[in-house]
Amino acid sequence: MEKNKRTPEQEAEQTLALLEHIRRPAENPYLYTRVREAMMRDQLQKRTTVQWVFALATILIILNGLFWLQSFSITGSENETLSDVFAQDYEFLQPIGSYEDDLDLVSYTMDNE
Amino acid sequence: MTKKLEQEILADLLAKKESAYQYLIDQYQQKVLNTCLGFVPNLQDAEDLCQDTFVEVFRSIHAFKGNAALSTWIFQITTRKCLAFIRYRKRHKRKAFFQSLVGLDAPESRAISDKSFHPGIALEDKERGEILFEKIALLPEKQQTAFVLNRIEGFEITEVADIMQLKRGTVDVLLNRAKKNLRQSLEQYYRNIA
Repeated sequence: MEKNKRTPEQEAEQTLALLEHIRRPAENPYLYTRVREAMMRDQLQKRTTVQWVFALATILIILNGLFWLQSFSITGSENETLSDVFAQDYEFLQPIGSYEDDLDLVSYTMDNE
Repeated sequence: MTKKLEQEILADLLAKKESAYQYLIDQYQQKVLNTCLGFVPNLQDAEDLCQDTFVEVFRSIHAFKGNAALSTWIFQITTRKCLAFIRYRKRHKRKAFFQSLVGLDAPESRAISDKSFHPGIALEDKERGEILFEKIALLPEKQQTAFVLNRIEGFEITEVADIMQLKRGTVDVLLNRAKKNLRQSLEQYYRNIA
């Protein structure tokens, strides 16, 4: 009943008066342990991240080396001429002959004629 | 804490001495927790924020320049953490609201508690306390910070000015506006429910 008699101003005043009676919270005896644990977790996470970066970098270096070796084995033969590569690429059964071979073929044809 | 003692503690903290960590927590735990409760009147969230504050204090102690008192620096971190948490919660609520509008379920939004009951308020005043903290949360950020530090944690105006890195006069203005806005907001609330 008494509550209904109060004006909004009085209600607001009473609510604001609560600020004077707020008790301080009790200390948490485990806070130190929690903080230490959080810090250790943080350090562990950082270490794990560094380990992952290191592992990834190592894998990339190894893969790079493998690709390099592979490309060297494909184009690495020093005796391979450009025409051989061309013949291989276009799947010619026999490699294209030399200029001298071509001359021989022309002279053979002319002789037969 | 005297200047000399502060220097010793600082040196011990930089040397990562356990005793210094323990001392700092014992010394400031209650004040930090009470400040957090002023911003976030929920014991679980406030304790998490208190923990985060000390973790950051210990982690970035080497960055402490000594321009202000160590306590001022600690409460700057506390305030920053609390405001960041409030912003995050608001963002999360907005996101959950839009997700509910388009029919997407947002289960993680339930993880953030909406209940705000300050453990330092007597049980018979629970309802009033909830309304009070709800209205404090509606204040603009700077007014809220000044109000919580001064009226809830009990810092002097000069200390609040140091923590907020503002002039004393500015803090005075912020406090007066906060009190006026809070009173108006509460009166409006009681007028509406009458």
